[in-house]
Amino acid sequence: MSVVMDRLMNNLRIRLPGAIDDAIKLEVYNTLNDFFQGSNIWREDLDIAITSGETYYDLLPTGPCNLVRLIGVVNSDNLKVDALIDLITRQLVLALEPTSADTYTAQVVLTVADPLDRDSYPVFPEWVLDLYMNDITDGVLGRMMSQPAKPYSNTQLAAFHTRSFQSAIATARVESNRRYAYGAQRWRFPQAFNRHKVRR
Amino acid sequence: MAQALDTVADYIADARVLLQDTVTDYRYSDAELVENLNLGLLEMRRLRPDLMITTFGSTIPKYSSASPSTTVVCDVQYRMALLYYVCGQTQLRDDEATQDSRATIFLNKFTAQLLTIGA
Repeated sequence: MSVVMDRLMNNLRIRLPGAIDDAIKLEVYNTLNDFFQGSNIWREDLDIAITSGETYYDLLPTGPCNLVRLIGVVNSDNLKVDALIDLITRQLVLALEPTSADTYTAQVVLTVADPLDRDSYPVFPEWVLDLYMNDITDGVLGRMMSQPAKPYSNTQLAAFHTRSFQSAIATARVESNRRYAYGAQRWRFPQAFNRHKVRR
Repeated sequence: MAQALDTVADYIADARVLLQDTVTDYRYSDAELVENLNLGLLEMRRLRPDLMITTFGSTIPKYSSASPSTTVVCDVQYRMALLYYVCGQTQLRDDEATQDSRATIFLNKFTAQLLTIGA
């Protein structure tokens, strides 16, 4: 177990008297799954060798993980290519048949999946815990405290921690979309502009 | 590293202290105490399913007095509660040495320790 995972577990153990490690680990998995699915922060660029006339390609991200959604696909000239993903078969589906061989890059969002590591923790990038330790802690506490008839059950605190976690997911999603650049895309169209467009 | 209440024999020995049954020949047999230990695990599964996460895909472990050195699978935080259940369930037996109120106290303590912090 990594030092940072150890710290997360210790944070949780002292806030959840009477909770056993296996139960905490179960909710750590669920919380991370919610966090990754909602925030899009775990992304991977996958290079795909494209052959002429073929529209289906296997997506093979590194390590145990599940695909959540496709951010986009570009060709070797960095031009956008229309495509979607089939989550069941884990394949990229191109909208149009390619006319020549090329290497496309698909950026996908990932989340945790089985199998777990030898300590029964999900495998995911460690920087996530470095950045979002307190937010993940909030998520696990919210889930644990909402369980009925446990020494650590507490509906009020569960609601508090869950709200904090939901807010953290939204913040992480924005940070991820702006690629962690402070003040990026601060300017946006005034709301009146959109309303004006709709009226037309 | 060995800890308190690791094995079947540990439970039997500690239960006998609380039951004041440390002199041979015993009032309560080993088999009886171990059976109550097994019943306690079933109760733990009912009250706190999370304590039995590792047994969801299989049956709950059943121990025997014939194998006293077997490790009892129970989180350290709830070993005392299980010991209280063994004592309470044992004292439910109707004999001149037991008191119903003492059995009730043990069993209530077991339940309270599983469900609340300050029990």
